[in-house]
Amino acid sequence: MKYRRMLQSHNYVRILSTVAFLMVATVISMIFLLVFIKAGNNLNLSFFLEKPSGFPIGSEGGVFPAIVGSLAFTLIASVSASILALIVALYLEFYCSNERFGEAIRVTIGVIAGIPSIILGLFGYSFLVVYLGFGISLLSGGLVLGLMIFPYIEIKFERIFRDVNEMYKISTYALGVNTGYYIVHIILPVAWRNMVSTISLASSLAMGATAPILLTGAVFYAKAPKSIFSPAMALPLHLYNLVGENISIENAFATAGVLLILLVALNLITWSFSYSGEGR
Amino acid sequence: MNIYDYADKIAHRISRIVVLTTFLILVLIFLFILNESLSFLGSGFSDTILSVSWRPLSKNPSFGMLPMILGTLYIGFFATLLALPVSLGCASFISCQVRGRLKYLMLSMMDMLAGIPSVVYGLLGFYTVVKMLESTGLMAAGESIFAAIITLSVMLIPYMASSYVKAFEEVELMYGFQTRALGVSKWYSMTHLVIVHTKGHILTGYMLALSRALGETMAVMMVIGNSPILPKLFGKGITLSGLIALEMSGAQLDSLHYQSLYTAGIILLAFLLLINLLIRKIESWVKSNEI
Repeated sequence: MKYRRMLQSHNYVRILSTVAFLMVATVISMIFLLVFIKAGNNLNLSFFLEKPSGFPIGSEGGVFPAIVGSLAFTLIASVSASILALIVALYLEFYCSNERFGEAIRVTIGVIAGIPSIILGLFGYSFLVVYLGFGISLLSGGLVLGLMIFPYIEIKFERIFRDVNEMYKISTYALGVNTGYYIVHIILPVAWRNMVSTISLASSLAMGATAPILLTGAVFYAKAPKSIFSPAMALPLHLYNLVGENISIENAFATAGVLLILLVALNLITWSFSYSGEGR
Repeated sequence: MNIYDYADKIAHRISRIVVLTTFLILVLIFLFILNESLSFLGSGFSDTILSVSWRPLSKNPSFGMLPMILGTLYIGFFATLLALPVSLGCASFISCQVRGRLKYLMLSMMDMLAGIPSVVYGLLGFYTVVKMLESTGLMAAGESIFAAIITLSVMLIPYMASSYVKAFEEVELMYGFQTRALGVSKWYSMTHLVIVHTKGHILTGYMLALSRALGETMAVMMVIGNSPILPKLFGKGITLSGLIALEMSGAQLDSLHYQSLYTAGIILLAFLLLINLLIRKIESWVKSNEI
C-alpha cells in the first residue's frame, strides 16, 4: 500500500509543476502587458527627445538626458570591465602556470561577484568620489558599474576561451605555435562572437542597476552630460524618483517602457550574435 | 626569436601585473569600508547597534540596527522560501514537457527576465501588490513587509528556475538513455531520480538566490515603507541596504551617521560572506559524494 502511494506521487508532482509553470507564465506576460499598456499614450517620440519639465520636475516632458546618461554610464562600465576581464581571462587560460595562484584569483573574483551592488556603491563613494576626488560624476558611476559586471564578464570569457582552447590546443602545441600568435590568430577570431554577446548581456545588467550609481554618479536632475566629470541622470534612478517622490506614475511607467525597450534591443544583439555563431 | 616571441613575453608580464590589480581591488574594497566603520566601532556608540531605536541625528544619538538586520533576514528567508517550490515546479515542467526550439526560447526568456532591472519590479510591486493591499482595507498604507516578500520572490523565480533547468539537464544527460530504455516515464524519473540526485544543486541555487535577496536594494525599498521598526508581516519595515541607499545622501562626510552606514554595510557583507562560505562547503560536499 505504501509503495503504491509512492508510485503515484509523480502524478501529483506533474500537476503541481504544471500549475507552477502556468502561474509563472501568467505573471511574466502580465509584467510586460502592464508596463506597455500603462505606458501607452505617454510613450511617444517626444518622450524620448524632450527633457523633464513641469513642477515638481518630471511630471511633464520626456527623459532625454536620462537616456543619454544611462547610455554613457553603460558605455564606461562595459569598456572598463571588458578590458580588465579580457586580460585576466587570457592570463588565467593561457599564461598562468601556477595552479594555486590561478585558483586564488578565481576565488577573489568569486568574492567580488558576491558583494552586493549597494556595498560597491559605498566603496565607490569613499574611494572614487572622496579619496580620488572624482566627485559625483559619470566616471565614478561608470567605474563602479564596471566593477559590478567585471566578475560576470570574466567568468564567461574564461569559459569561452576554455572551450575554444580545447579544440585547438593539441594541434597548436604539435606545430610549436607561440602563445601570442595562437591567441591573436586562432582564439580571438573564433571566440569574438560569443564575447560580443557576453558584453552586451553584461551591459544590459549595468544599464538597469540603480544602487551603485545612486551614491556615486546619478543625480535627480541634470542636463545631458558634457564631460565624464559631470554628474548625469540615469533612467532607473529617474524611475525610482518618479515613484518614490510620488511625482507621476504615468511617466514612471513610460520610463520603465523606455528602459525595457533598450534592454530588449541589447538582448536582441546578444541573441543574434550567439545564435548565428551556433549555426556556423 | 621572432617578433611574436618578444610580444608574447611582454604580454605575459603586463597581464600578470593587471591580474594582480584584481587582488588590489578586493583589498581596497575591504580596506575602505572597514576603515570607516572601525572609527564608528571605536566611538563608544557601538553598543547601541543591537538596540531598536535608530536616532542618528538626535543630541543623544543611538544607532539601533536590530530592525534593519531582522528585516533583511526576514524578507530574504521568506521570499526565497516562497520562490523555491514555484521555481522548482517551473523548472521541472520546462525540462519534462518542453523541447527543441521552444525550450531554447523559454530559457532565453528566463535569462532576459532575470535581467529586468529591479526598479521595474519595484514599480510593478508598488502598482499591483501595494495598491491591492490598500484596497482590501486591512491596513492604512499598503507598503509592508508582505509586499516586499511578494515582489522579491517574483524577481527571484526566473533566476532560480533557469539555474535549476541547467542542473536538471546535466542529470538528464547522465541517465536519460537508461531511464528511457527501461520505459520509465519522464515525470516518474523527474520525481524519483532527477530531483533526488540534484538536491545539492537545489540547495546551492537556493543559497545563491538568498544572497541576491539579502543584497537587493531598490525593489524592496520601493514597497517596504522604510520605517525602522521591528518586522511584522503586515507592517512597515526596512532593510540594511535600503537604509544605506536612503540615508547616504543626507549623511555628512565623516560624521558618526556616515560611519554608522558603513557599519551597516559591513554587517550585510558579513552575512553574504557567510553564505558564500556555506555554498563552497556544500559544493565540495556534493562533489565528494557524487558517484
